[in-house]
Amino acid sequence: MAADDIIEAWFRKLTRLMDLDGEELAALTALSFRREETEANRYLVKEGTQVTRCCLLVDGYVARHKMSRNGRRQIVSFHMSGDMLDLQHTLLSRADHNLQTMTRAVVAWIPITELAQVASRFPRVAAAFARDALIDAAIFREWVLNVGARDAKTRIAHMLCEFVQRREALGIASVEAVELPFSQEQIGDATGLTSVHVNRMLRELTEEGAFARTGRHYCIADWRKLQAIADFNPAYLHQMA
Amino acid sequence: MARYFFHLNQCGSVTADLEGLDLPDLSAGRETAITAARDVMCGELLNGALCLGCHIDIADAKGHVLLTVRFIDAVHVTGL
Repeated sequence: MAADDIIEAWFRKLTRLMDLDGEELAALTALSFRREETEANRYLVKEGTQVTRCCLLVDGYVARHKMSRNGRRQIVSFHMSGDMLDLQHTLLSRADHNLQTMTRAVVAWIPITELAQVASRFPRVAAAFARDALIDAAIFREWVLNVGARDAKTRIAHMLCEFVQRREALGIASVEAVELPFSQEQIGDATGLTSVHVNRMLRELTEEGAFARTGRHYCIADWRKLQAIADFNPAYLHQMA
Repeated sequence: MARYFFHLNQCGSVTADLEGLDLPDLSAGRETAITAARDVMCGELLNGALCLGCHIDIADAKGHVLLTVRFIDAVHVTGL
């Protein structure tokens, strides 16, 4: 039986993906969850390994990333409370990317065989998982557009808009209360920019009134302005991410 | 490892680095500053402008500037 915080985080996300009934939710609740608290910067999954368990993120933030030959890290997505980090490993057992915590985090590990069994018994659970994977793909498409076709400032603004929008949709925090948890280096790795360039653009976004800065920390000063600068249209999140 | 801070000076306007990066030594800091200078210049070029007179000061945790990397030293410029 899973702890309350695990189920609460997961079902908050899952029920946005699909209206699941009591029997379906009970089957998911009965899965074997192994709860673990982790430090920041810990690898949860490493590229090239065989994965036998799925990771549900309960609290904190995780980055999905790949490394180039010269050691440059490209973050391809950010994850937050309620996200199943590697649902793809229920069907593709070899990891083709890394998952690394960006902050302290709480995760719950679920055996892949159990997840696959529930998905085959309950088609609507399988559909929820498929939707989750499809929305992940929609986010990746948007990120390709972001790093390929937007200038540095728009790119950073867009990436941060997505993060704030997803957090707000999950009911984790209101827009104004969001303090960005990312370092300049992490934002740079997500946008293909150096941390110096990121710092310069964050300063510009602050001077334009989109962000407010207290010491090292940034929060949203004008959400509408930030979205306008970012060319942000949340339609690709399908109101479910 | 030591923490180095990369302060960007652009024509008198300073973007102070309050976070810094952990790097093995100042030589790695220099490489980081060169890569950053090239990246910032790329952003400027895409907007149709370039200033080679800017520089990045590399400072330690106490705020002492250890090395200055000038943009003009971060690229080979020909054809002027």
